[in-house]
Amino acid sequence: MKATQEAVSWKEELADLVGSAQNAEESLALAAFEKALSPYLQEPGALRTLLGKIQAMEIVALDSLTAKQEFNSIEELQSFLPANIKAQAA
Amino acid sequence: MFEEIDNDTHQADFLIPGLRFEKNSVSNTYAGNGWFSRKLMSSKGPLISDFVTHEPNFSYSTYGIHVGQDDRLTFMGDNGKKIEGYFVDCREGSPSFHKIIQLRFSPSLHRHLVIPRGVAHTFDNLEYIVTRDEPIWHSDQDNTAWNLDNDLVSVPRTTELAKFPMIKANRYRLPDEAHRFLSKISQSLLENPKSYLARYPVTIRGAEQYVTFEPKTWSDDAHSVAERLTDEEFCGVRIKRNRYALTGARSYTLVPNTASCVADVLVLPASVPGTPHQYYWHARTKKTYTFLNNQELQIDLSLIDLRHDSATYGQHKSLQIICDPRTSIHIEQGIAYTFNCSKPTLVRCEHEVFVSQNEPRSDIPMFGQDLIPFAVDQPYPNIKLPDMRCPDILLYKMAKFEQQTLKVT
Repeated sequence: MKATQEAVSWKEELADLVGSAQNAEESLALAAFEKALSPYLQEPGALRTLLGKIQAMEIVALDSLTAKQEFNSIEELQSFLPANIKAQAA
Repeated sequence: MFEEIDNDTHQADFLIPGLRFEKNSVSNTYAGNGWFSRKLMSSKGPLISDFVTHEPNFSYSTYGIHVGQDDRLTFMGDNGKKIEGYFVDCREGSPSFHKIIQLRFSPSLHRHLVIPRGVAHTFDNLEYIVTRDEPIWHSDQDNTAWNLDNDLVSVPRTTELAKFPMIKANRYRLPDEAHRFLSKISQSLLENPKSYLARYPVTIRGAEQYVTFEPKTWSDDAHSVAERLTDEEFCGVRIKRNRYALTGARSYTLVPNTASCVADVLVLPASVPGTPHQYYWHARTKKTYTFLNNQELQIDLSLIDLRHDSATYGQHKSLQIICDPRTSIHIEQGIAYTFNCSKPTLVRCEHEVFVSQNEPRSDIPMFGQDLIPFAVDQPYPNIKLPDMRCPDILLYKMAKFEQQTLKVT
């Protein structure tokens, strides 16, 4: 319930933000931003952190990416990973 | 071959266009003006910062490439080693496409490293170092590499240069208010800590797509931090959990706690044995302090409750705080306090500001000067504390004004 209320509030704030553009570049930026963010706001819980950080990942998990260039499915990729690492489509 | 950057170099450009050091805004605070010796303010721009801590034996096994974000990184703390940074230009059409440069430099409050979006980067020797990032976000239409929720493409460090991806970086800079909006959503998402998921380009059945890796063993973090928190206010002070993501098993990315999103970094110097403790209190400001480095170090906080309407009015208390970036101490107005710590410590300072109906008031300092010395042998002040909380946007605009006007060294 809280997530839904927040999403509604965010949609309203986003609409205000898009309407507040001061020049052509801001209009372009905010229009693209709205397009990127809106699908997430339709589905509360789809967002995770909104961060972009380098993760301290175990080297063994990465060996599969460099040793094998192509996979048939995410399940096949998962089979190369340690049990404590979960792969999923982004 | 590393390019050595000396400690006095605060501004420099490099072979990869846009990769550069820029000068920070640092002010010295003086004896008799609080416990802190230096203050690192926000750089020009959106004033939004996050902080990344790095655990013992920390290492990165990947490069990261932003699609929509320019990083502005200040490296803080001291582990006795120089930081080594590696940068590969992956921007479509760049004159230095797939060129690599390597920089070796010491942490310093006085400069930040700008890493343009589309430039792959990674670092060695970051253990115990804290990085402040002041990102600048950009958007674009129909850029399939851009994921708003996870703006980093990871590439294993073992990848050959020629096989680094080509990135089409986003073109349009978002206005400052959009940064604050995004930060508020991020705060809400991290009300409970989460592990950060790395995103990798993978070829599946001949088509490139992105896959995230989630380390499941990081998920029990909430339990381990719970014992550090206080359920109730203790003489005007509470210890609460910060909002953070796990970027390593014991490494954290902290996002702001307040909707103003404003934070300074202060340096708390080591206490000098035998020196009497100086108490100060705030009339207008609630403070939230996060001890960013020296994890597990004990800091003694001594308190005197000066609030006339408090059940603990006049009481002296001591609180032992363990430095843990996952937690912060929240100190109410009207609490005189002082710190005692054995090592110089980096402190994130966030605040809420209050005003009265009957402003301007002459009995308490104005905004920006709200630090009142208190001697234990003096009578307790009899002051009605301001009780109307300033809107977050006002605090944000005050911080903008301070950033533009304060003298820096």
